[in-house]
Amino acid sequence: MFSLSRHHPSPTRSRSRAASALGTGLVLILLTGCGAGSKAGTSGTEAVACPIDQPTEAATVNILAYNSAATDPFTDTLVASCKSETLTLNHPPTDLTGQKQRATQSLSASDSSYDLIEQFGTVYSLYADRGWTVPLDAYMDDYSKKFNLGGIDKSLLAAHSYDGQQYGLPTYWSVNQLVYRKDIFDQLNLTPPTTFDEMREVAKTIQDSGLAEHPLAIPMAPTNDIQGLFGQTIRSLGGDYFVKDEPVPALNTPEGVEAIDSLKSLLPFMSPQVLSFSSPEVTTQLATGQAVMGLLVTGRLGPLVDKTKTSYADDFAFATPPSVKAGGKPLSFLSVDGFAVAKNSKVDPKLLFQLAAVATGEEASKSALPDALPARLDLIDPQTVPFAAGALEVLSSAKPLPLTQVPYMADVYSVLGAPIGDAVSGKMPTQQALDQAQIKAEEAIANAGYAK
Amino acid sequence: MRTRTFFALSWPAIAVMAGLLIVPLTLTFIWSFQNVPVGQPGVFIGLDNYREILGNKRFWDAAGFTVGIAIMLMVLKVSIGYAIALVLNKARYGQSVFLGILLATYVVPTVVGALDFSWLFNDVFGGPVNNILAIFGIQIEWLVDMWPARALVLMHSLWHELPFAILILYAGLQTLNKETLEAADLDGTNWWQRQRYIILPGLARFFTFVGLISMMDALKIFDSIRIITPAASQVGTESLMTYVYQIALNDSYRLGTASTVNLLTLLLTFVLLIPFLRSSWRDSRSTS
Repeated sequence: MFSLSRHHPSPTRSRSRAASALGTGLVLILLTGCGAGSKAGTSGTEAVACPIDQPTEAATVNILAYNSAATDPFTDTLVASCKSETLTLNHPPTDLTGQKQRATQSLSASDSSYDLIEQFGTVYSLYADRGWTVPLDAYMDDYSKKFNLGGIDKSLLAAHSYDGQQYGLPTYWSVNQLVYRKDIFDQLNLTPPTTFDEMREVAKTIQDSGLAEHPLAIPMAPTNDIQGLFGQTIRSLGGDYFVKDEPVPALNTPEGVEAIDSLKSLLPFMSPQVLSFSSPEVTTQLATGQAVMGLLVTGRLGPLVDKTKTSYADDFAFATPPSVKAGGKPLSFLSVDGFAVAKNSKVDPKLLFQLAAVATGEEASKSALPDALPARLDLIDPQTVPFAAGALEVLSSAKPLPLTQVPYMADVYSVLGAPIGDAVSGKMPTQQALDQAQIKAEEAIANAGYAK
Repeated sequence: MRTRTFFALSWPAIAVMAGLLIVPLTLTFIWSFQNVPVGQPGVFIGLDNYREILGNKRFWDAAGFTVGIAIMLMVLKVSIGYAIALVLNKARYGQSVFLGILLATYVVPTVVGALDFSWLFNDVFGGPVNNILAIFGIQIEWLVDMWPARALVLMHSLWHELPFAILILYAGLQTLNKETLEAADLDGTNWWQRQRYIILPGLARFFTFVGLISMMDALKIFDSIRIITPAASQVGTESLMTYVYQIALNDSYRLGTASTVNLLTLLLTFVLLIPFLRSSWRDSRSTS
């Protein structure tokens, strides 16, 4: 069709150039191949005692757990400690999106690709309801003493139960916390707000002082944040995502309208682009001093107390989030990750349970600190983890709830972002947006096969 | 070459194509008439998926945005690419250096480039663009307002893919017959006349090629939208590819519905590429 050059090099030079190019290409491919497909490293992880009943015949266990600073300590300790001559443990790297997709594909197939599955609030009810994960109650009775399962907090254990049965062993947990700059609060004689009214007053005072143009920062991206924030707000007002014990959304209610209006009232104190912000943007705003006060989950607070990441590490303090109104429930939710046993796995479920117990055991839990708060609460030392005391306070006093433990929660959660975002941004009138959210939620429940 | 020899040499490529192209296409076609939740067998539902998608405003918004950005990108890549190629062609020194710098944006992985590009416009990460605009009293919310967000996606795609157009058109300019251009110059033609009667017709194949590739690239735009505007459906930057990803893998794993969108996208792609394919066909017939 066209040519780049009319020059015709000699055959000898052409051959040597071709040989050089081929050789270079081969070397590059080999070098790339050395790095390709490398597994998540456990080389830095200390092996601990692994009191499982090792299999007598060769067995391979594939673990599906997304890579993050919070989840890796549990998985890495398991892999480093329990492999043996008869037991091979594989933990291929994956991110959170990949985790969700692979888990669904593996659990729903006739043959499992993964035997031990990391699970969390939006998905574990679906797995349990579909019969994809193994009820663990019998194993918990058998192995409770051996693995000191009594050390796992009961409320966190309950976050992985469904229909009266236990479907997972929890690893770590998160709650929403209010994080604020104590130095600025002291300077302006402010106290941490306990209601939205107080939060607006505090934000206005900071704005008027000129110390921060946008003093408040909350993740509000419609991809994954605004629908969670809406849920916390509507619960603070006495409502919820669904009618109690029914697969019927309860979004376009007076509580829903008030929740939206309450969130809208915070916008003047936040960046104009807040509706595109997730946790990384909020963390950056706080870490760089652009914001003075914010709502973040426990797992995102690490960079704020790390002196290498922010010059304000010693200035942050943590408190229970405010409620919308005085006397209402504080804004918060409970997120608990854990390990489940795949029902379609060919590996002995007793072995898989024991491996899950080691992954959630005391040694693995200690290695997670300070990046994650383990479900074994007695291992958490508030002196060494600055936000731990606040998180424990939220857990005990606010009694936060997880996302509604129904199998269609993920389906509904994913369709709420756009209409809730439109309502909060003012692109659509509140009632109209909530009516739309209600319809989308009803369709999502029906499409998932759970409509009444 | 005998037919038997042809097939003996090309059967591996045909087998790979069949496995990676024909089989998935066939499955997509079958699934488009079924309700296929992940992990469960498909159930035949006739044309329900097509009725649902064709009656869905979100699909038409995504299709409209995709076609719109594809056409705009093609026009801009061809026009700006040609303008820069003309300048390069005239330059006496530093052409290879300049080309090398240009190609840097082309070889950067799309995700990395999109992230870095978006940070230029994100105040939280110290993006300088709004600071510069503020000098002129302008404040633009690039990440939440629809048209600024669309402009951002367009600008990134242009930044990333323009070097390819420049390279092809610059190569095309090198192939033009110098004597013809000198003769035209001696005859007293001006710049525009040379462009109109000699250069542009001479580069017709290159324009067709660049236009074809631009259109195909733009129709499958995905990575940059996911990075720059993750809440694409809410902001108004949802393309057909991000839409089908949401349905198939994010919302509720509705593989039947997603297959329907894929087939409709293929149809749309074919319709949009007809002018280019006709031009290439005519061109190949005239030279054979």
